[in-house]
Amino acid sequence: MYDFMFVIFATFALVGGLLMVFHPSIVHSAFALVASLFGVAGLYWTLGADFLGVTQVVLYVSGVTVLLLFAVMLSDKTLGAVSILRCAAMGLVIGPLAMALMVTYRAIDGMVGTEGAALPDPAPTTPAIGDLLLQPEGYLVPFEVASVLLLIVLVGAVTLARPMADRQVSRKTIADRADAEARGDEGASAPQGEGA
Amino acid sequence: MLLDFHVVLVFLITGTLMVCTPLLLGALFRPKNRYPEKDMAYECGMDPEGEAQVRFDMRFYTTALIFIVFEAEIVLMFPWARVYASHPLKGLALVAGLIFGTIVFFGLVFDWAKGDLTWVKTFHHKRRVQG
Repeated sequence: MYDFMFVIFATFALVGGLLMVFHPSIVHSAFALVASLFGVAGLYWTLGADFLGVTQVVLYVSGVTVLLLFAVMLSDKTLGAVSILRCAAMGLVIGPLAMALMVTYRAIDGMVGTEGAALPDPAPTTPAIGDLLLQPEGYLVPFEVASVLLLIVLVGAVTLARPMADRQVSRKTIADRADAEARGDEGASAPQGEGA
Repeated sequence: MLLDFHVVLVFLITGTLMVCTPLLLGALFRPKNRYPEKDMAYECGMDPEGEAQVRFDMRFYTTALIFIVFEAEIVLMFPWARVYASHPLKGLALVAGLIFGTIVFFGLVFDWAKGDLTWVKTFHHKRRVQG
């Protein structure tokens, strides 16, 4: 059963990935990426990592793809097609490199003689993760720090996504205000109209 | 564990079938006579003007970014919610969850106050800065 599901999910991941790389339309590529990421989520499930699999679906299959499609809609359509030949050439370089890396790893692994961990019992992992997140001696602090990270992302990403003109206006505003304060004259920084 | 995902698989297959079956039936039974007018974009009977592939507003992207961050928050809150009811230190669990949610919520408040969530941009916040 597990082997059968592995073949199904691995096919999803591989065919989706190939379609994504070789399809000329970038929107179709994005949807092929959905299939590929879903296949990877399925691989997580077959490995017994159910929480990771669901995270993959929630964050990557839905979230990142939405962002990707928005990026396509926002970009200039006159950007031109990506040269498949160039991609293939890059693949020809990166593929053997990755292969060499794996072979090296196997060789080192064989020399050291470690054995990989056995697959865990197929049991839901979410409660265990929740327990660890709420233990003061466990991951309680990292859990809370993660929220600060999310806060930084929320503020930073939106600030970066703000149109450049807006950011320049506000920077200019701040500079003007600093100038006015340096001169000790609040009235000097007269409103500059609605700006744009 | 795959065991528990049978339900998901059934949903997936049923959903796929519900989309594909009408399309397939339509392809089998509908008459096929194409002419150029049929391939035009439909705009309430008017002839469409301009290009269909226009550049979208940047604010869609901002909204999507905020959506992703809160999605990540939900992913992290899910294990918390899963063990909350049976947790021995319920007070600690509640405070931990509240702090987590509040900190991320501050980000939303920041974006809101900065005017990134307003669709029609007013420049109130800028005027306030200029004093």
